[in-house]
Amino acid sequence: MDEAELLRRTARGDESAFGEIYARHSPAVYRYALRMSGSREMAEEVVQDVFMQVVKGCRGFDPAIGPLASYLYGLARNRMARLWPDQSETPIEEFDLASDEPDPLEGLSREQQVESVRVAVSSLPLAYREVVVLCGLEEMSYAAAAEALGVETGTVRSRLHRARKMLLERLKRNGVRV
Amino acid sequence: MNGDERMKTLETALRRLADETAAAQPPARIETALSAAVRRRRMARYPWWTAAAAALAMAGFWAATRQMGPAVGLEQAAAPAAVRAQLAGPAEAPAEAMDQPAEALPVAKPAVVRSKASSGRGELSGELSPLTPWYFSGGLPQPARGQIVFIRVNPQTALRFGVVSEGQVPAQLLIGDDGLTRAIRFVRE
Repeated sequence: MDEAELLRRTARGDESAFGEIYARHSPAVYRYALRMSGSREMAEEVVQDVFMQVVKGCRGFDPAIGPLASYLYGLARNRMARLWPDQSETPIEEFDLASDEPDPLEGLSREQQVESVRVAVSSLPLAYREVVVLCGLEEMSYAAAAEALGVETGTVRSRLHRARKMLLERLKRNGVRV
Repeated sequence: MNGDERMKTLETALRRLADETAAAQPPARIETALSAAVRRRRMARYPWWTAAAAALAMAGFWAATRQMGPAVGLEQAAAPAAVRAQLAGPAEAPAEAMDQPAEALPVAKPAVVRSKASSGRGELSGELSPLTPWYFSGGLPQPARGQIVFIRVNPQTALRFGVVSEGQVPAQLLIGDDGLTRAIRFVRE
């Protein structure tokens, strides 16, 4: 059964149709929100808000424009932007890492590396954080991420490139062994 | 260490971070709460008055069934003869019969003996459509069993049988066990 039909049934109160949509998409939406926010509470709130729209039938969803997954990512993004209204306004820093500088993650244990990167990802401006989360963590293709974010594929590529540089810079600035 | 190596290390660290949260799932209570919202939405589509109307309809049907009572045994010796006598003439010329005044269409009193169980009078009111046209029922086999149903017919329907009235007219229908109307008798209140 296609997702538009599942949405229609959900809006009519069909619990099994809702269960199918939820099983398909809630883990990805939750992971996205968790990786974007670093907070389980916030991720749960985002999931609840996004799927409440599903309960209501997602009237704005048009299968001709894109898949439901992209639409749900869009809802999650909007919710995150409302939760952190200042994030999108964070100025983008200009920096350059000298090629002879050491790797800021060098010598860290696996756990230390993961925690350092998590903190650094959380500190990225929203536009850069989401491409890191979608492409770097969710392993989405550039095209799929572009569809989810509503931007061109080239924009995703360039943002990701800059986001990686920013991550290295922040890791160094945060005192990770340089 | 050059830039490419640092990027590789970063990619590795990102993959490890991804692995840490790859199995993350929203807690079950969220799905429970959302499923409850779906249920509430389904209930909201059918407001309380819909359920109340359905209950009323059921009660009405039950009451009507009680008023009709159990099937009435007809006394075979009397009823068929009376019904035949009532139906024989008009069945041959229905068109003309419809145009006759009231006195041209005498309604014979059906000689039907009712059981005590159905002697209590009750009435059904409403439209009579579909009602087997009386002039078409002349060739029907005589019913072995049937029911007498009390009804009220509107003035237009009563006029078709030659009964002129400004209001609804109480009547009794003789309905055979095949469900077809065999006779109608208007009752003076």
